[in-house]
Amino acid sequence: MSTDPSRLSSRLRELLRNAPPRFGGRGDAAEAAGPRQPSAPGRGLVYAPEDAPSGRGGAGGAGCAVIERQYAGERLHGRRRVAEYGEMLARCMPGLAVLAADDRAAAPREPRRERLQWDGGARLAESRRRAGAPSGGPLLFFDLETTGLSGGAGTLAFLAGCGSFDQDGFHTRQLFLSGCENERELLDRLAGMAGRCGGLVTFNGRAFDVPLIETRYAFHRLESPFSGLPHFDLLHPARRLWRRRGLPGPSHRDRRAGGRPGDAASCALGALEEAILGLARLDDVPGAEIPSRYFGYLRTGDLGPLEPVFEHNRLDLLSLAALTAIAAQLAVEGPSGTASPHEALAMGRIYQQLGREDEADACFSRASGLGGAPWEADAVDAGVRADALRALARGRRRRRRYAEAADAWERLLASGASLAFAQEAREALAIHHEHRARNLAAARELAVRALAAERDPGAAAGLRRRLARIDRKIGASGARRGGGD
Amino acid sequence: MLPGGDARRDQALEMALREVLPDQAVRERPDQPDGLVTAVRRVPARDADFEDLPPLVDPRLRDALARRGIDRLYSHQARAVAHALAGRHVVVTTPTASGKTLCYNIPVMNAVLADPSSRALYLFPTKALAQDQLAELDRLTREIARASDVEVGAFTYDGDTPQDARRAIRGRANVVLTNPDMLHAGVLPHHPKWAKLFGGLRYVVIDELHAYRGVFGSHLANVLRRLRRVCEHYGSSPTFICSSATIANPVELAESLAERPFELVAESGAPRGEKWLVFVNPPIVNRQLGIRRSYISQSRGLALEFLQKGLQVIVFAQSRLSTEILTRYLKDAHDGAPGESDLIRGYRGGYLPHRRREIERGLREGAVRGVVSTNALELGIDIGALDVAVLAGYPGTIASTWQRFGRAGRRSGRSAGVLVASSAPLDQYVVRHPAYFFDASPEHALVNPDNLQILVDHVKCAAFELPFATTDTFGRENVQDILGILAEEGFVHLSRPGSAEGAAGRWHWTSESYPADAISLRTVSSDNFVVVDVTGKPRDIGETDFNTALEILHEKAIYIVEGRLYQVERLDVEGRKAYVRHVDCDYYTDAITYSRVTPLDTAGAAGERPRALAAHGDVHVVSRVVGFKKIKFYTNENVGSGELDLPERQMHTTSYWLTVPRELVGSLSWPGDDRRDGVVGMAYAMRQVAQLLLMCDARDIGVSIGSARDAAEDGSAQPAAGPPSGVTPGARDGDEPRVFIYDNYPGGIGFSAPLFRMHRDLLARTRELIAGCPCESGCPSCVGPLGDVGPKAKEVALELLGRLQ
Repeated sequence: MSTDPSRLSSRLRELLRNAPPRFGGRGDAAEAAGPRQPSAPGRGLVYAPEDAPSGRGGAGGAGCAVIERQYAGERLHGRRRVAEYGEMLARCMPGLAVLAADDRAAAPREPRRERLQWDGGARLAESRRRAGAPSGGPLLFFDLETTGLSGGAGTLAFLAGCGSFDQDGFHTRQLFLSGCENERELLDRLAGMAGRCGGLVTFNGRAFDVPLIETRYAFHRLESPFSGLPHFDLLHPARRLWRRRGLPGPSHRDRRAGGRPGDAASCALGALEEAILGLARLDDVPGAEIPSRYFGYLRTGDLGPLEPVFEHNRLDLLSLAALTAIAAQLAVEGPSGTASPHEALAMGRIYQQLGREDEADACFSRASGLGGAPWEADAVDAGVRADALRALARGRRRRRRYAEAADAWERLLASGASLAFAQEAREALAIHHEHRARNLAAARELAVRALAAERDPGAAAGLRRRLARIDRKIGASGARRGGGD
Repeated sequence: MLPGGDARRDQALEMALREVLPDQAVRERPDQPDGLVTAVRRVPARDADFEDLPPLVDPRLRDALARRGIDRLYSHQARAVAHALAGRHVVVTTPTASGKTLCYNIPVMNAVLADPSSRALYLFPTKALAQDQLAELDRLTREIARASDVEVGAFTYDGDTPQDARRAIRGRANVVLTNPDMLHAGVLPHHPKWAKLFGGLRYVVIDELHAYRGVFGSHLANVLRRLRRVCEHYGSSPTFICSSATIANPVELAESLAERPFELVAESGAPRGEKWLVFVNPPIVNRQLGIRRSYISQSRGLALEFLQKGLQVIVFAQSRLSTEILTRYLKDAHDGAPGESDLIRGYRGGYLPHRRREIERGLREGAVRGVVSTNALELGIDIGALDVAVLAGYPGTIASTWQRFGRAGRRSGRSAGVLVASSAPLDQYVVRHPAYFFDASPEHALVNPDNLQILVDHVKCAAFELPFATTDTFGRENVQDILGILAEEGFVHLSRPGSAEGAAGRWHWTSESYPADAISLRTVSSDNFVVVDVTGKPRDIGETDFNTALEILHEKAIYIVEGRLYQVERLDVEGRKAYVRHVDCDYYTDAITYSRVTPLDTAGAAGERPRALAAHGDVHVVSRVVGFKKIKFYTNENVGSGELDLPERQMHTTSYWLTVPRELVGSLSWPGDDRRDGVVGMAYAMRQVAQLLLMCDARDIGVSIGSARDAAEDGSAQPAAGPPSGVTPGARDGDEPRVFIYDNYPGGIGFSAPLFRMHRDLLARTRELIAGCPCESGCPSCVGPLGDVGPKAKEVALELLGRLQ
C-alpha cells in the first residue's frame, strides 16, 4: 500500500483528535500542571553508587537517580517528634504481628501462599537464615508513584520511595526513573535495598504497590526481591482501627440499609494523617496530577513540577511510618492503650479474632464505657456502644459466663439499640431467664415484648413457639405447685 | 447404535427424497432454473484414507490415543501433525466432523510431554466454542494422565473466568483456550503476569479461521502482531496451526493474519457417506410483483417430510425471528403431547449456556429429532452427525452454505442437504444458477490489517505492552511515522538509547490510559449506542456501533431483539442512547440513506469508452439518513414511510466505481427518467452480486450513485465536495452516471481492490441475475421493488449491462 506521507500524517492527526473523549483526562491534566518555574535539572538528586550492584548499572550513563533525605529526630511530624515514632515502633514491634494476624484471619478466602505474610519475626528470621540473608535489618517503608492506576505492562513506577528509621531519625531514599531506559537499574538498586531490609511496610501495597513492582520485575524477567519478603500492609488494620475514629460515621442502622462502615470516615492515608497524627499538609500535589507531571518531565527535562511529587512521596512514607508505630503501640498496650471507644472496639475485635478473649472482653467493656474507661458511657457514640455491648455479650455467652452476658444484654437493651440488636438481646435474655436463671416470668415478659416488636413473620412464629413453651412451663410449675399444696 | 440402523435410515431418506423430488426418483438431473426443484446433485461416498501416526509422536501420547480408540490418523490429520511437529505453520481446511481437533491437539500434547513448561494458546471466535473444545481436550488429557502421570493443565480464560482462578491459570495452564477479544484486552496488556505462557509458547491454534475476515480479521492480524512482539520479548517463537472452513484463499488469509508462511492441508482423509444436495425455489404466486410462496412455509413442509420419516433434521434460519417462527411451526406439527420430552428445539445465541448444552446433548443422543438454529450451530459445536440439513434461505456465502450442509452427514450412510431460496436477489441468483454454487470456488476472505484507524489503535496497545525501538517495524506502514505523531499527541515519548538495551532509542507509553479498553475488535470505532428498553423499568437490551446506529435506531424505527419488536421513541445522538418501547406491529422499518461519494485518489483504473470505465481508490463518503419505509412482515409490502432529520456522517474509505460513458448514455433510446431508473436498478442488482463475490455481509458495503461532470474520466482525483444539498442522485444531460460500491468502514476493509479485479465478473453476473429473473418488469429479486425504481428499470438496466461489457 502506498500512501502519501503528508496525507498519512494528516489523517493520523485527524483520527487521534477525533477519538472519543473517553480518556480526555490526559491533555487536561497536562495543562493543569501549568507552566512552572524551571529549576536546575538534577537539583536535589544525589547519586548513591554504593547501592549499585557490582558489575551493573552506573556504567557510562546517568543511571537511576537517588534522592536522599534525612528527617531529624527532633522534627515534628503532626503532634509528635519523628524520633518518638521510631522509639514507639522499636518498642512495639510485636504489635505488628498482632495486627497482621488479625488481618489474615479477616480475609480467610485469600489463599495463604498467594500472600506475602507478616510473621512477627520468628519464621522470617528462620527463612532468611536459611536463605543466607542477613537477619534483622530495618523495616522498609515503601510507596510507589506510578504513571497510572490501571496496571498492565505499560504502567511504570517512576518513583520508588523507601524509608526507614535510624539513629538520627527517619531516612528516605527515593529511586527516581530519570528516563524510561533506566528502569532496569532502578529495579536492580531497589532489589539491593529490599535484600537488606527486615520486612516491608506499605499502605495498600498488597493490592497495588507490590503487584505493580513485581510486574516490572517480571517484565524484565528478573526475580522479584519482594516475593519472599514479609509484608505488613497497614491499610486493613487501619480500616479496622480508625474507620470510625469518632467522626459521625454511619450507624449500624445505616449499615443495615446497605451503607458501608467507613463511608463517611475516609481511610485514605491523607485523612488518617490529619485525624490520627494531627498533620495538615500545605500545597500537597493532587494525586491525579502526578502521572502527567512525570510525562511533562520526560518531554521537557524540567524537574520543577516533580519536586512537589517527591515531597508528597516522602511525607507519605513518614506518615506511613508514624501511623504504623501508633497502630503497633495500640496492639501492644492492649485495652488500656486505646485512646477512644472506637479504637477500643476495634482492638476488641482484633483480640477476638486472635482468640485472646480476656483482652477482647476488656476492650469491649472499655468501648461501652464500663470497667474503668476514661470516658462516660453516655458520651460514647450510640452505634459504637451498641456494637461493643453486643460483642461483649456474645463473647461472654460463648465462654459460658452467662450472668455477665445477661448483664451486657440488659445494658444493650437499655441503651436504646436498633431493632435488630434489641430483638437479639430480648431473645438472648429470654433464653437466659428460661433455661439458666429459671425466671419464667421474666422470660415471658421478654418474649412478649420481642413478639410485639417483631416484623419478620418467620421470627415471629419462632417467638410464638417460645412463648407457648414458656406458658406451658409456667402452667406445669403452677400445677405442680398447686398439686403440692 | 443398532445394527442395520444405517440401512433403515438410508431407506427412510430415499422415501422422503422421493416425496420432495419432481418425478419421485432419486437421481441426478440437469438443472432446471424455472422449476420448483432447480438442482439435484449427488456427492459420492468416500472411504477413509488412513496414515500411521508420525514417528515423532511420543509413546505416552500414542497410548492415550489408543485408549480413545485412535491408533492411526486420517491422512489430512497425519499431514497436519507432521507439519506442526516440524515447526511449519499449517492451515487445515477440511469439512465439519473430519476430526480437525486432533490436528492441533496431537502436536500440542506432544510438546507438553516432551517439556512440561511448553505452552499453547487456542483462539476461538466465541466463548461457547472454547468451552466445547475444552471438553474434548479434557477427554484426551485424562487419558494422558493415565498413560503417563503427566497432568496437562488446560483451561478456558475469558470474561467468565472467576478472578480467583485467574492467577492459577496464568501459572499452571499448559493450554489456554480463549478468544481474540480476551487476548487483546485481558492477556497481552498484562503479559508480565503471563511470562510463563509467553516464555514457553510453542503453538498458537486459531480455529474457525474463516470467521476472521473484514473488520474482525483486520483487528486479529494486529493482535497477532502484538502477540509476536511479546513472544519475542520472552524468547519464544510459536508455530501457528489454523483450521478453516473451505474458502478460496485459506493460505492467503492465514498469511495475512499471522504474517508467516503457511503450509496447506486441504484434502480430507475422513470417510464420508453419500450425500444428496437439493435446491428448492418456492413457486411464484404473483408474477407481476415477483412474489413467491414464503420460503419459511416451504422449509417447514420439507423439514416435516423428513421428520415424519424418522430422520434427524437441522433447519438453519436466517435470523433470530425466523428461527423462533420455524421452531413454533415444527413443534406444532411434530412435537408429542405436552409433557413429553421435546422432540423439536430451537437454538440460538441468546439462549443460556446450560440450555444450549442440554440441546446439544439431546442432538448427540438422538432424543432431539429436529433443531432450528441460527448460524450459532454453523461453527464447530459438537452435535453429532444428523441426517438432513434444511437451509431456510441462502446463508450469503458459499463457504457458509457448505458448513451448514456439513452438519448433515455421517461417516457411513446417506444424508441430504436442502437449500430453500427466499426471494432476496442473492438467493434467487444462487438457486437459479446452481452451477455457480457447485462449480465456482468459494469466496475469498479479505482483511486489511493496515486500515489506518485499526492500525493506529493497535500501535497504541503495542506501545503500552512493549516500548517500540526506533528500528522496529509493525505491519507494512511505517510505524515510526505513526509513533512520531503519537508522540506529538503525548501518547508516547522517545527515550534516549539506554545503556543496557543496545543502541536504539525507544518509544515509551506515556499516558495514564489503558488503550486496549477503548478498542473493540468487532468494530472499527468503539463508539457505541446503547439501546434502552423503557417499557417497564429501564434496562439495556442491546448495543450497536456508531456506523449503523442512525440507520437502525432512528426515531420510529422498529428494533428487533429475540423476536420481540420495539419501537424507538427517542434517539439521543449526543448521549449515544436509543430509548425503545415494546410494540406489537406487523411491519419492520428500512432506513432510506442518501449518500454522496467523492473520489479522492485513484489506485487503479480500467476500461475504454464507450464501454464501462472501472476504477478503485480512496473516497470521501457523506451520508445522511433522510427517512424510512415501513415494510410488512412476510409480504414485504411497503405500508408507509416517514421523514427524518438526522446529522450527516462523513467517512474516508475505499471504493470501487463504475462510470457509464456519456456516449453510451446518450445512445439509449429512453428518456432521462427511465435512464436514471435503469442505472438505479443496475446498482441495486450490482450490490447484491458484489456481496456474493466478496463473501461479505450486506452491511459491509454501501452503494451510491453519483455522476462525473467533466471530461477527466480516467480517474484523476477530484477535490472533496461539500455536503449533499438535497441533489437527487442520477444522470443529468451531459453527466456520466457513476455507481460506487464502497467499504462501509472508515479506512476501508479491503473489498475495493478485489471487486475492481472482479469487475467483469461483477457485470456479467449482474446481467445474469436480472435476465434470469422471471418477473415482468422488475421486482425485489432483481432491480428492486417496482414502486421504487419505475416501470422501465429492468429493461434499461439490461440494455445498459449489455452495452457496458
